[in-house]
Amino acid sequence: MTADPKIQLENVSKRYEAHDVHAVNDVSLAIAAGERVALMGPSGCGKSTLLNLVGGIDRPSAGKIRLNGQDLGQLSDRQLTDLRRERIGFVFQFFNLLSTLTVAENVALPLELAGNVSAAEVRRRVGEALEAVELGDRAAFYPSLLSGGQMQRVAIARAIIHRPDVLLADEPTGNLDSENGRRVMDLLTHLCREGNQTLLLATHSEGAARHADRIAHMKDGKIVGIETPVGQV
Amino acid sequence: MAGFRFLLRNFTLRSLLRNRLRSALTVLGIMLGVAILLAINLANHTALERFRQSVDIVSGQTNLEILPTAAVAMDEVILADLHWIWDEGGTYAPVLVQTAVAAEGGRGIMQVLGVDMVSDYRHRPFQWADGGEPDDPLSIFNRNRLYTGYEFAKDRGLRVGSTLPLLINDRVHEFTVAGILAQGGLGAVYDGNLLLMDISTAQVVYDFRGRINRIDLIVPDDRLAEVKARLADTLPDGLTVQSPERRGQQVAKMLRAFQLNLMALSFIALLVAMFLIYNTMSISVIRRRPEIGTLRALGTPRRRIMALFLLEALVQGVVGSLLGVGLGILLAFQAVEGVSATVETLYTGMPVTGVDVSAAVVLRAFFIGVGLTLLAALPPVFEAASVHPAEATRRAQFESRILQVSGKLPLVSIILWALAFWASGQPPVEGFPVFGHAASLLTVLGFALVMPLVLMALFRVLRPVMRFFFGAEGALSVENLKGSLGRTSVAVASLMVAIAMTVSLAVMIGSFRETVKVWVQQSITADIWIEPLWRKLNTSRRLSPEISGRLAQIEGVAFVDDFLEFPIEYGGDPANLAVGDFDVFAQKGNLIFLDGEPTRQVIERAICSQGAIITEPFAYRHGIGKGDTVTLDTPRGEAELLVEGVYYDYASELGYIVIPWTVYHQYYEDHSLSGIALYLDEGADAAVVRREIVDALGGETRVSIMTRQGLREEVLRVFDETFAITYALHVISITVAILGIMNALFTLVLESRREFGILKYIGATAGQIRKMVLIEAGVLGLLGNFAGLAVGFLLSFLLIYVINRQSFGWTIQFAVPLDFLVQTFLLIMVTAILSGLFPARLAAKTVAPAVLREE
Repeated sequence: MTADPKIQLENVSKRYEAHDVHAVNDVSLAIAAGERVALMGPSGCGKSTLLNLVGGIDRPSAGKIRLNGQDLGQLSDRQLTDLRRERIGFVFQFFNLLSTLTVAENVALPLELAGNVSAAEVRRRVGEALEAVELGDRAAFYPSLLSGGQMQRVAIARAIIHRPDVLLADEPTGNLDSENGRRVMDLLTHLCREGNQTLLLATHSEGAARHADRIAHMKDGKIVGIETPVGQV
Repeated sequence: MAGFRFLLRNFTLRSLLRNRLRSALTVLGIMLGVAILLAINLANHTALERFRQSVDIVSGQTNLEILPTAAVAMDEVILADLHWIWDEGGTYAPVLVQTAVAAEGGRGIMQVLGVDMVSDYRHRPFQWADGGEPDDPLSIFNRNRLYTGYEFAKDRGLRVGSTLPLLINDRVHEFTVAGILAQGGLGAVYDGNLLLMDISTAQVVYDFRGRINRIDLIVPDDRLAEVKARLADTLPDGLTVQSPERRGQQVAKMLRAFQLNLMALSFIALLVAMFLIYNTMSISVIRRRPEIGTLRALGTPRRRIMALFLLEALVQGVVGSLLGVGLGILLAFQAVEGVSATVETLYTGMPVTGVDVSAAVVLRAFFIGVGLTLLAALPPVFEAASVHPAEATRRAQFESRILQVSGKLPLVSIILWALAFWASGQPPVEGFPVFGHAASLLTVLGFALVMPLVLMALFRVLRPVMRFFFGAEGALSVENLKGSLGRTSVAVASLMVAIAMTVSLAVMIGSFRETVKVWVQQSITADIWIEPLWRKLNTSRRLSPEISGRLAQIEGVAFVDDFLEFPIEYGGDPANLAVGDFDVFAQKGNLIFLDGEPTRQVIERAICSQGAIITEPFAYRHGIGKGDTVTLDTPRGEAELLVEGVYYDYASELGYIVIPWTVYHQYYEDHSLSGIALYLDEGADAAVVRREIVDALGGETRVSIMTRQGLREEVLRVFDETFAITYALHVISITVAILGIMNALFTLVLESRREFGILKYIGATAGQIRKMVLIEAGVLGLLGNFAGLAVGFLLSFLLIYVINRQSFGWTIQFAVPLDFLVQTFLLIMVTAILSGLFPARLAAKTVAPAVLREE
């Protein structure tokens, strides 16, 4: 671990007043640049909430989250959106591709929304991203024509197209069979290593978690233990 | 049953409450649709009812009446031939019906009833108001005495013995109030604007000495048929016997085309609301497909699913219709105001005031509202019933079904258009263009059905365009709309219907106005027009014939054209007879004849043959053309006149037969005038001549003197007044369509929550999401606008060449009111985009994790 962590959580809590639920409870964690950390635990233990807090989608009720040393609590909604747009990539369990757009259009979305990249550059980077996930020949396909594994690879391509520092993956293998799950995790790990990207992964799957450098076990919103996986992939 | 109640509470009612906003928009749409329908129906009903009630009360016990068919009055000597009526156990009473204007303080036109005060009590019994009883019962027979109604007396502070100056035709006469009638009955008819005088007084002041214009009879019911038959056989030429109700029927007949067309227009808002209902119910079904599937899997039969959704529609229909009834009654007052001037000026000659809230009319509007709601809900309800237990997936299935069906819909559209084409060639049914309206409906329906296919093609073109103008958000908006093709199609189609109707009507009215403008420019050639005051409201008002001679003496006046017009019956239908100076016509007139023949040529021929010319509506209604004959039932027998020409005229849909004075004098004794047209010498100053006229007529003569330009403007003012209400109806239809857009946008926003959530995760700002929804609103507005314009132009052809022609018999030249169309286009665009503001805010507030978790 370096002295300046990429992601720093300090006593972070998230409480939903309406439901009187402590989704995340006093979590502290430091993640170094390029490190891969898996959050493991049963459903409802707070993994996804923690990812959303780190991604600036949600704000903590207490504690601080720093990304590259910057306190997310100090940022406006607009700045958080910019941060997501430039430095964070999301991968979801259910892929969350837009069914009305082609594979290439889905991948291009983050750049299109940013609006500051030329059309030629968008085309070039989409091509690169799709090549990276080995789907260069599926650019004009609609998502409905792809398999689950392929859809998740498209989602990964979309998550890396804008070259983020941090990838947040929420159960990326949760909707895939074990073989496809393994291939997706291999790909994700490979891309993170190659781009020196930090990966925060929420998963149920021990197989997926083994791709991480560290595994943080969560229960009732708290981190109850951190381990280094045996037989890391 | 308990199970059904459970489902009704938890499945149907809870859904309505949970989707309050959507339910509210739908209810609002139904409410507006029903309100407009009811308001127009009540206004129509009130106009007729007021006339019928007045006829009933004024007729009293009368069950037969004798009237001149094609003349202003009849000789009272006829009364001497009616003594045999007494032997049949009946009575009869002469009547002279006229109008007057209260010379001071203006209360509009007053109806004047001259009756035989000695014998009339059998026909029209009346009571005195408190303090209104005459000091001397015989005083009514004194010169210039009259009775007034209570309201009128109260308004003007009149008491028995008060003086009341009245403008009768072109002179002011001083009357003394001899008695005041009690508030009900005769004292309340014509909205209290009735004056009663002895017939001899009326004959003197109206210059109708020895003449009357109606004889009322009371005949025992068992003798009625025989007496009527005997009268029909023995009455001299030019007189007819009929029941008093027939006057009501005649007015109903005259009003029919006007009222039916207005009613057809009032259905538009409800028609547009049906799209809204269809949309809402479709959404309700689509969103709950998994629930329906689960219910089906748990053994709920199809008919119960149908019943649940029908009840959902029923609740909205009943609530919307009930609210619509309330609003409709309020709006009816406005609607009455809107039609009153038209009805009074063009049809009944009496104002329409207040609203006769008929339970039957209200119930009919309510049930039409509920019925059409259920009808519009049927397709989604069947869709719900068809959900297979294993097929309970989501929207994708519905949209893919739309795509499947949309391929077949053009065939249905082609069939509908073919039917529309056939219907447009069919003749009217009893004077009403049933097939013309059916053709409009089929045309619109045809276009609504091809909408999904057209939109698919348009979206392909629009996407790069929107991307070019609005970046990624533009392209995403188009994709979003494309992804909800079914919903988008319904929203665009409903807007299309509303706009098409507005555009078609605007084109029709614009064309009509342009045609009338050209007609007025060409036909109104006289320099100065002189008419009795208030003649526009009542054509029975007359000028003293001696005025004409005085005007001819004025320096600068080259020709004087005396004219007279009065309503007649022709072939059992109401029409008008007009008399003019054909010599002047031949020299100065510029009528436009259908076959293009010059006015002078036609008029000179008519002078030689002692024939007639007729207007286009008269020719159309009675199937008479140039070279045919018209037969007038005059006081001196039948007059068969050769029709020398048919000319364009837009003054009356009932049409005119126009004859020269020489012919008129052969058959009629009445010498009064409706007006005088003056042609000035070349170079004469109209303003100077006008001053000379005022001097020549003196202070006692009260007439309206209008210059050519003034009259032309007046004609267009009346025209605009007549059509004002139609614009109001269309504003409301468009409002309902905008509600449809809002509804569609809410739905799109709700259904796109997942997409918005994803976009937020990958860096879309709230502003970008708001922008997307606003672009969607704009695209819906744009597509609806273009579709509406295109279909509107097609409908305008049907309106101009089929519906209007069959209703009124007018030829209208096609003209495009560009200003109005551009304004409407912009207004709809702005409103459509504004309607997206709230949904856009809702979309921008999407909580990304929550929606993704839900989905």
